Amino acid sequence: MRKYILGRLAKTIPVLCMIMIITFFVIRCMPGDPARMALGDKATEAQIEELQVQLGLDKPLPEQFVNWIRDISKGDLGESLLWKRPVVEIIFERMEPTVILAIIGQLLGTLLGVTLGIIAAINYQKIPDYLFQFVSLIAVSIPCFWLLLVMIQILGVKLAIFPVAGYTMISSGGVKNAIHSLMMSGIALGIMQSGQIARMTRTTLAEIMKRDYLRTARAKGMEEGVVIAKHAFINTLGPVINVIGNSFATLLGGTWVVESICNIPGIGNLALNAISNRDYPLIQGILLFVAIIFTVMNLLVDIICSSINPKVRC
Amino acid sequence: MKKKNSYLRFGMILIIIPIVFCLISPVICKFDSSYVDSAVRLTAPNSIHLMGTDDLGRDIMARMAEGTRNSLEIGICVAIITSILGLILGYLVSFYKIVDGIIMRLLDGIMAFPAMIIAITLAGVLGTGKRNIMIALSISFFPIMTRIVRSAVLPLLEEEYVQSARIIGLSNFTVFIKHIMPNIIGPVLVQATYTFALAVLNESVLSFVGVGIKAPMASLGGMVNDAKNYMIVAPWIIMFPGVMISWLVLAFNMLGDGIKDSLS
Repeated sequence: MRKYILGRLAKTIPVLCMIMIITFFVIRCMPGDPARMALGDKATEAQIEELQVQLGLDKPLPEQFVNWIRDISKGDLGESLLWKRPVVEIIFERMEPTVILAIIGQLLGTLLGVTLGIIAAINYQKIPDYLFQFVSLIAVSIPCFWLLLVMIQILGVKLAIFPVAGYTMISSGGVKNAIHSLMMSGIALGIMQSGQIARMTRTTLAEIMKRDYLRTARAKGMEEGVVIAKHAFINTLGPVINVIGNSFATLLGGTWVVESICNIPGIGNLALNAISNRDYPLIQGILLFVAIIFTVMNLLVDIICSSINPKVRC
Repeated sequence: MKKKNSYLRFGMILIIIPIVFCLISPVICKFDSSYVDSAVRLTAPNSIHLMGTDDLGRDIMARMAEGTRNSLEIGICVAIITSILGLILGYLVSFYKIVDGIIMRLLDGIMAFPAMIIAITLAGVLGTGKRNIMIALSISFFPIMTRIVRSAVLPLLEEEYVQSARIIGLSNFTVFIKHIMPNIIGPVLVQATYTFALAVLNESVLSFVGVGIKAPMASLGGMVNDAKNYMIVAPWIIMFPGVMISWLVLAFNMLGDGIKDSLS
């Protein structure tokens, strides 16, 4: 087991290197000059040159890259052009709502998805199953921003169950209020997640239910519920956890859109602002942050997956 | 088994309807999509404006037709580009081991970023316009296609007929085109259909957020963005584009499921 973990960690290193290269080049591939774009039309040549020197854009590309890597290893992601503060500081300030939103969305999505998937697989190719397939197909296809807008009208405005915008920090309102203010967006994200997870759960469990060892357990006289809970479910966990890890990417992307609708001061909102304001150091920092989070998530998912079932190295 | 085939048929019917809508709508509705008539702002669907008007007085049906056309265009271009890129890279990666090492690392790096995030960032950085959106979306989706092609080709290389073909001296390229391609077209087609659906969905997100197709060009995501302030007063402005986006994505997901079921 330990050898697997070490091997998996070793495989992460080239991925991290690639992430840094890609993050670096995504910004540089913009047409035009970053400094000129950041300062706008009214800037004088002297101001543009000064910004170029400050961003290090006058040096050759390989040297820029080496300097950037050196800065990252010291924990310095540069300074935001718009906010005039270190990028790391800004990201850590804004992390809280996004993390809580992601956790709520993923929890709701997993609970809903796994439950529906199990129900569908138990009633394989009967009416509940067909209904489920239709519903999950819709859940996967509805754009999350549209779903959230409709939900805001029904749940937030007409019925006034949840607040529709903003976020109460944990420090000012406590954990319960923080979660309450994010509930609407969390539900929308959860519905979006549940579709994928439910489909995978249904497929995996339906396939496992046909296996011979379950037939033996039933022939021995075990009740169906116990058969599923004791024998079948453990083996579905592998692919399901795998798909939870993969769908986390969609969740992260979803938080960006959802935060901009509900005006939540999280990383997504920060990123969209940075992109529209051409704040390159901040965009780079956020991209790096998101990629590293996702890579760590995948690493955890793989380790959990293979510790459950060592035969299946996901 | 009859239920499985109905996905394919149903998916195709669902896809044809928006296409027919796009083709017919210039005949039915004579308004231009950017024609502003402030006198008829926010009118509900009636006999003149079959889908009503939006907050600037533009006819919604005309905008829907243009938006749907844009989405379909972007979807099919991204699907084709991703498939071609996936096939070329998949070929290089399966047949030449050195290329395998480099390119798979690059793909792992790209896949470490969530697709929507890469698409939004690239579209924002490259600038607006359909061409840049297609580039951004293709970059987000080609790694998965390459992985699928690679995982389909590698087992085939162990097959006897492929090995015989290589031994008698056929070039790698000929082996790929004549023997391997016919067998991998199935999974590639399935993934291309799913990529179409994802491309339409992500294009609408890009336009909603503001880095996609910009005004005055009509786009489904942009229409939802314009409509979000008028949801109570004029719910039709947000309903029509939202339903159309969901319809398109649903149709192609269903088609992809149908093709996958009919292949296995």
